[in-house]
Amino acid sequence: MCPASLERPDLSSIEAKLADSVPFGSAGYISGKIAATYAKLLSFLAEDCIGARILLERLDTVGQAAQDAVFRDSIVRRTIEDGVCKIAKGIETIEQSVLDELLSAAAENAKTAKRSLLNESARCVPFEGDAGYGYIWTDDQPNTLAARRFREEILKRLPGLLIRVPTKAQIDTLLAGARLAEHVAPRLGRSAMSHNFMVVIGEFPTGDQFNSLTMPGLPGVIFLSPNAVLNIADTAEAFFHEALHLKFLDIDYIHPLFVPGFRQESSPRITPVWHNNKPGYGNWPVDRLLTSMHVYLALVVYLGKAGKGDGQGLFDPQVCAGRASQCKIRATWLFETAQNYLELLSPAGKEFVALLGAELTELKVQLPDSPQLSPA
Amino acid sequence: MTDNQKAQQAAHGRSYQNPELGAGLIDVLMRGLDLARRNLKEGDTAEPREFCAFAYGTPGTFCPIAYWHRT
Repeated sequence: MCPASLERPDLSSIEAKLADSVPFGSAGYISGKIAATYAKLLSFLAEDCIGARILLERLDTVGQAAQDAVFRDSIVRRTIEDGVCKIAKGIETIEQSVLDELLSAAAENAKTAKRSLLNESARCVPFEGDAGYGYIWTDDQPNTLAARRFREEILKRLPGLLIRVPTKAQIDTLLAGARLAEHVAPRLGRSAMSHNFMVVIGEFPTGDQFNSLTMPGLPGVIFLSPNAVLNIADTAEAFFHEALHLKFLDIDYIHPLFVPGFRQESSPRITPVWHNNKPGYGNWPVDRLLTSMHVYLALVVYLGKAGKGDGQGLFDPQVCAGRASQCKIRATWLFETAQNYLELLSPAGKEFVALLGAELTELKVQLPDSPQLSPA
Repeated sequence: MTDNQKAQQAAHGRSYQNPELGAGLIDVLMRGLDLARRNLKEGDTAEPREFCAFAYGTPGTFCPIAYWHRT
């Protein structure tokens, strides 16, 4: 594929659909539905939990935008989910006193300008502007219940992770990276990054390292390793990439994408062809297949725009064109493979896959004769 | 009386609906707990365990973790 093929106008059309369509694109739509979902979960808790009742009372006094802000907070979401799992499933996820205290604190913070709890309870740095890209975690000694709980919930899922306090240079790179991602793909960048609430810098002390990751169960949280924040262009892409995983997770909350009973542990496993013969890289459960397809399709748009002049001179056009082509190939492979697992998807999940397939068709980009299958 | 005390007082006199959450939503919540519960169950002496299957890491060289060894 030649770089010129990426300058076709349908990139903007695809960006618009991925960024703004309903029900799987629009951040405003998804945010409103997320708030409605958590309000429902709070109502479920209300009979057994005074903290839930206090928060519901408080939310009755604020507008929809404020409610959306309250329910963007990662620790508020995690706490509500723990409460529901405790009451609905009898799982000892959280002590009653902690549940009440955290939800009461969320109610107290709903009165403030920011509305959310975690950013008021821990040291963190906000992303700039009004777009609402959340915060960067900078607290090495969390001393409030919300901040300590946030750290504990991370370590339950990523035990051994060393949570780092970013340097000023790393923070500056992150802030510049967010600006760059927004500049490269304004609609899609904003739509994706608005799903972030907290970026955490971390790494494992030994063994293999990661660049960035996102974890189901930690809504609105992105993990970046120090290696991911070395330069603005790579940081922008890592943030954009992980934010799309957060968006996928949020879509799953409001329009569950899988059949009842679906679990990652028992899911069929798929190894993408570009990970063949690379032990440990494959074995993806079906949810990872779907979210990867979503990210690769978005990266075609992002890299296509970055390479044709929207990247402030920070991107090599030839490299971007090659990688966009590679992402298209991979998204297409994942879409075709997903057809083998449709029985694991809900009607919404099938609609999601079909939408991405339609966007792939719309790309109308010819596959190169010699696809580059180096890691994207 | 604080605002929260006022809200608590108001909440005491109010009845709340008990909404139907739906199996799909409950499953989403349970998937968010799965890894935390598994780590808790397996404890500190567990053999190398998979976590990348749960996480959505960046692919290729950006996400070389497949198994994480607890130290």
